[in-house]
Amino acid sequence: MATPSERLRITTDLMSRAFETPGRLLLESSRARELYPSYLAAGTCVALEMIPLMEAALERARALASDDPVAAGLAAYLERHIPEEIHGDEPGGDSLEDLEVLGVDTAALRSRPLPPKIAAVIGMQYFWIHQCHPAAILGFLELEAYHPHAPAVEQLIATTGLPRDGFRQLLLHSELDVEHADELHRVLDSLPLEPHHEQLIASSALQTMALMIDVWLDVISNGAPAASSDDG
Amino acid sequence: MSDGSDKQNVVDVLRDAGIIYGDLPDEHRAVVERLSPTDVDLLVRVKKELDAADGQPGETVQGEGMPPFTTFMVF
Repeated sequence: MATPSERLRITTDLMSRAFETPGRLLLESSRARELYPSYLAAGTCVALEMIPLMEAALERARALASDDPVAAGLAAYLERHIPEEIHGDEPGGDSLEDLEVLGVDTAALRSRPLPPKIAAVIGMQYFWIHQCHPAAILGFLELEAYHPHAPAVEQLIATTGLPRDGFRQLLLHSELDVEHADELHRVLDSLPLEPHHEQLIASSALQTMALMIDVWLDVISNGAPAASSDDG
Repeated sequence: MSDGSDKQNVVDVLRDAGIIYGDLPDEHRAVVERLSPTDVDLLVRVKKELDAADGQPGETVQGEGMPPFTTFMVF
């Protein structure tokens, strides 16, 4: 009998080859050097919103916790995990430093509204957290199980010829997210999840993966959404 | 997904789309059969879009010389 984390992994693995395709297209592209800053910027936009998103899930979980054991367990997990995901003096700040090394105008990037598809990734989570159950965030966090792997990052560094300091967060996540994914799976297997929770978490993971694939394919096709320092 | 024939269809739909292939272990089949219609539609749509972007219909094939994991995420 599969555990909840195994069932989730079986489900998300149906999307995993698709999820890796934008990265592969980036590696194969003759424009990889030009595209990588935008590709990283797309992920950074999500990383910058991730802490407020988890805090919203934590707040909702605490509100439900007194008579909802799934919410109570989720709150305990998020209290531990949020500090692990801050990465910098401000949430996501270290990714901004990598982008600056690559010549991205991070002030411009942050001052602009989120690209619509990234807003959809984040907004969908807020909707589920508030209208369904905060456990939806666990599907979003399941993407950590598809973390970057160091050999692929090294190949990207070599392919692009860009400064290694523009890849620090990718290299860090290739190590950290192994532990984060293991912990997430332990949490999934410890919570008293009902089938409707598992369905929500699975949908959350699949929808997030699908939207991020769209975001990254847009980068491969159009170079959106980074704001380069000569972008005006 | 209320009866056995519908459940069989989910596996067939994903197999026809090139998302699953080969023998499906019983444990995996049980999970796949519980997917919502929305999630099944999403999986098929994304696979078709990726095939178009990749210029390579059918099974996704690992490119020659490519490392096995090409996700570049910082979250």
